Amino acid sequence: MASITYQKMRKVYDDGTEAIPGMDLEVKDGEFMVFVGPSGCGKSTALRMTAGLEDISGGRLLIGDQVVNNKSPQERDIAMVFQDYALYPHMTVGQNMGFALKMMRIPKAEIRKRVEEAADRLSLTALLDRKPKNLSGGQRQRVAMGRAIVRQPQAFLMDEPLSNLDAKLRVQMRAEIDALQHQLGVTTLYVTHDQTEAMTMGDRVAVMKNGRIQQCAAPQALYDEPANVFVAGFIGSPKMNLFHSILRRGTDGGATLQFGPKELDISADTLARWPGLVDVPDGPITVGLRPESFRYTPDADPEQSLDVQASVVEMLGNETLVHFVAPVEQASDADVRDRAQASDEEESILAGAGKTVMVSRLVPPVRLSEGDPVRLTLDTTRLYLFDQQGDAIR
Amino acid sequence: MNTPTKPAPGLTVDEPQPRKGKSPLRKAGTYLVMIVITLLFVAPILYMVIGSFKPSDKVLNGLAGFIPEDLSLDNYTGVFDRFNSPATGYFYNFYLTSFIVSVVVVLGGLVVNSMAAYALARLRWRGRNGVLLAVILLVIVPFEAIAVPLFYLLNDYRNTYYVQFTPFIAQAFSVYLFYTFFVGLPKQLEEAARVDGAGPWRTFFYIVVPMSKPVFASVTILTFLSSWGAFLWPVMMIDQPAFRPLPLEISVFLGQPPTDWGQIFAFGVMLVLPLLVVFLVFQRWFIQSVASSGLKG
Repeated sequence: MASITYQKMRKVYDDGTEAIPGMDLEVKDGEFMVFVGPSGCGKSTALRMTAGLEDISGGRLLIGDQVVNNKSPQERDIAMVFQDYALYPHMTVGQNMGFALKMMRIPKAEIRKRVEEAADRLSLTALLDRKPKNLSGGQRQRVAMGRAIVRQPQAFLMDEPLSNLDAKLRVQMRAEIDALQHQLGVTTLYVTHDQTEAMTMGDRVAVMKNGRIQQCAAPQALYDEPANVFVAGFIGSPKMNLFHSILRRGTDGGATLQFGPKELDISADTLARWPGLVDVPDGPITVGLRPESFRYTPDADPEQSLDVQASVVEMLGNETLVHFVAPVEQASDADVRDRAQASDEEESILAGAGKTVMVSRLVPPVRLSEGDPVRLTLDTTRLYLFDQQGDAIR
Repeated sequence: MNTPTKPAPGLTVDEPQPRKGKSPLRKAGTYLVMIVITLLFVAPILYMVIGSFKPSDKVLNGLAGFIPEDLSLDNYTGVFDRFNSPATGYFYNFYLTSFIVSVVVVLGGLVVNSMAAYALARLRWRGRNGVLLAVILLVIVPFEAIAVPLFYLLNDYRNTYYVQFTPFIAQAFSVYLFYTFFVGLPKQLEEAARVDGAGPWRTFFYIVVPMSKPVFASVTILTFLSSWGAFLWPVMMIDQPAFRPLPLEISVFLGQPPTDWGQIFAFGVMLVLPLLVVFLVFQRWFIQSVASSGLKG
């Protein structure tokens, strides 16, 4: 087992495209690190560079204390699980699992012993003589895992290994991979675009966009303290409601945030939760609200609540998701930066002008129908504030 | 006991409907066309095979030549008897020459052309696109166009086995066939092999070759066909009976009076037989699908 360290690692393709502008990260020995992000964010490229399947254009990559930039995949002592499993179709399960050991010229008896041990661990013993085409998707996935673990490598690299499984099997395999990793204690890099996988499996999660790590933290920390608008919008399902607003400080030490025609009162105590807000002048600001920050309060004072009409109602048993149109302008990672160019006056007009679909999560579930009027109250202590650059204000 | 329930009135039950077949007349017409086309292909071979067992005076006898009568192996023994001296050459020797040349061309070609194609399909090196273009252009150059330059180039090696197989091992068409197959193979399998510790050689021999049986079979059949039937080049380079391949010898045989059609047909059957064997051995891989069963699905 070994740590994996990226020091300003860069990837520039021959056509000049910069896939990874400079990556700095240390994956600790035995850690389960997840790279997550949308398509094209560079997560798979980073993994392939770690495996030695892509050249490193600049910076350094260390496995343990060795710089491996110019080492071949086999010299890096890593094992990889591919998205499509990449099982050799002409070999049996046993041969697939033992192939890497055969390449290492390990004696046949030792190969057999290690393959049988791994097969036993993954309940593959009965399938050792079968060819991949005679296996189900879940079994193939297990074989791919088995092929990785027989090597007893320094690190596992997994490139979206569950994306081809159906939803039920994915949940099961997720738990199995997680348990296996903790049993073996092997440093693991896991790439996925599925934030649920990332949140449930990783010791830490690195959220990536445009080849840059936006934030790397424990799953709960990502959810509770997103570093910027992108992370806030990416982590969480349903995703965070983000909208443009105007911050106006009052004389009592509190402040208000424009929410369409209404203003949300923020008390001085609540405001103190964001020490960084001291440096932010009154004016445009981006606000985030998790769906669970809404409360269903049919009897609340209309002045202190929000009256909306349910446009979509999703009854999920333990909770109800209510989609509604709010009189605010939706904010996203891209437009927050664009808006930074607008004047305060323009901002003020824009912030009150838009309409955006928001989602509220109501627990316990409420029986509602589409078109029903819904009165909601906002928990202003659970707001997220972002500056004009999209960075979190803390 | 359960009784089958009838559907409620107004409800219809979807039952598999028998497929509407073609009308018997149309079917018969289709079969007739297929039989005629098959006969066009099979008739000459059948004529030759039947003729090879018949006395010479009953061989070229119009449609009656198809009638099997007075069958014997005399023509076959006759061929062996006629080629049984240093002056005429030995029949087994023609066979051996054709066999040695074809096996070397096929095996050498499989190794050389597949490796060249793999380098073009997968390895990154300067000038790769230029070489690929040259290979594609060479496919359309007929052998006749290069026969004379080759003749001068290899003139010192006339009447050898070497001169018969050397120019035909590297074949642009084979390289192109391998190339088109290899570029279609899933790259992930080769990447998995690299991660598993296999270098380019072992990746090629352990992973790529076993997955490429269909193209290896195709190239084997096509190369064997052209090599076994090679005529122009041996005519130019071989004049000693000891190094004559079968096609050259049958042409010599045809020109030697008296013309014995029964024996010529017997010679022809023995010439074609190995082609049939090679085709039967390798044809099953023709229809084998591309090796992608290890991937998702």
